[in-house]
Formats: sequence, C-alpha cells, structure tokens
Amino acid sequence: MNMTNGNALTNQIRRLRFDHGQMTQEQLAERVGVTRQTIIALEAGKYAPSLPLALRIARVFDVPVEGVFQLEDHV
Amino acid sequence: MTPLQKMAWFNVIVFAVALVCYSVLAVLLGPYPACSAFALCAAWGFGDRFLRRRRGGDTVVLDERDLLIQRTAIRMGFGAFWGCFVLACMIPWAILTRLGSQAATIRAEILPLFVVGGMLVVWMARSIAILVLYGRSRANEHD
Repeated sequence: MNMTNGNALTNQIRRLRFDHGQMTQEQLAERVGVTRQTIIALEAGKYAPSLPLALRIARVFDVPVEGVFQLEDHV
Repeated sequence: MTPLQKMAWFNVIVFAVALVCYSVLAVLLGPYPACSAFALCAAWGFGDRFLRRRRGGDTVVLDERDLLIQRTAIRMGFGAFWGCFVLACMIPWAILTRLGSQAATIRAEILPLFVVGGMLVVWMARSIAILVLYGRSRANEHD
C-alpha cells in the first residue's frame, strides 16, 4: 500500500481494466506511455504515480482521477 | 525484467568477474599490481546498451518509475561512497594516532586508488540499490 503523508493511496485500475473489455496491463501501459512493470506496481499499490500519469490513466478509462485513485483518510 | 535491472545485473556480474581476476592476480603478482584487474570494469560502459530503444520499436524503455528508482539509486551510490570515504580516511588516522605514529605518511600511490575505489563503490552501490528497489516493489506479474 502506497503511503502519501500518512494517507493510503488506493486505486481501481484493475477493476477498470476488466470493465473496459478485459484490457491487459500491456495495452494500458502502451496507451499511457509507461512499462508494464509500472502498471503492475500501480495495481499492487506500491507506486504512487505522477499527476500527469494519473491524468492519462483516468483519460483512458474516461473517468475523473478520483474514479481511479482514492486517498484513504484512515490508515 | 526491466532494462535498468538488466543493466544492474550486468554491472554486478562484471564486478564479480573483476573480483575473481583480482583474487587470482593478487596471488600471482601481489595485491597492488593485481588492481589492474579492475580495468575490466570499463565494460560497464556497455551497460548503456540495455537502456537503448530498439530500432523501429516504439515501446517505452524507461518510464517515470524507472527514472525515480535510478535517481534514488544514484543518491544511494554517492551516499555509500561518502561513508566509505570517511571510513577510509578516519580508520587509518584513528589506528595510527592510537599507536602513537602521528608522523606517519600515506604513499601518494594510494590517492589514484581512492578515485578508482570511489568509482567502484558508487557504481556497485547504485547497481545493488537498483536491484533492491525493484525487488521491494515487485508484485505478482499477471493480467
């Protein structure tokens, strides 16, 4: 779980991929311009993306950034 | 395995080979001439080939996470260098002072070894840090 100033950053990338025609990690990686390993790290909550990357991922799924990434208040 | 990991493994393997050569030469020629074995580490220059984009390919070789890991590893490499440098300066001083040989001198030939040794420490610490940082964020690789 990635921690940002004591908050846990969670994401819905895995669910959104499956909701979008079973998109593979490789396909998502190509569309947002990163490696597949980064998508794996993101899904596992082990990497907090930069703002541009978060926006690109949200754009691929056609949802707001909050629809992809959530900051949990309670740790 | 990412290109950066491949480069780090390449660096570690080259260093291990140089270390084996040094051990053999140290027995045959003595420790100081055997240091020439570390010239093999010049092969580290070829490590950059792992980071090059394939001809005609448009897949991403290094992304923001790789660059972040690389930056952190470089910082750790220089941190390790500074730690080793301080120890290399302070330990002989502490020992010689305790033995009462305050007028002891260090041979000038040692100084280039400090430079080469420093480079080896930075490069190796950086490579190991890259492997550790990737290992720490490894997850199950499946779709």
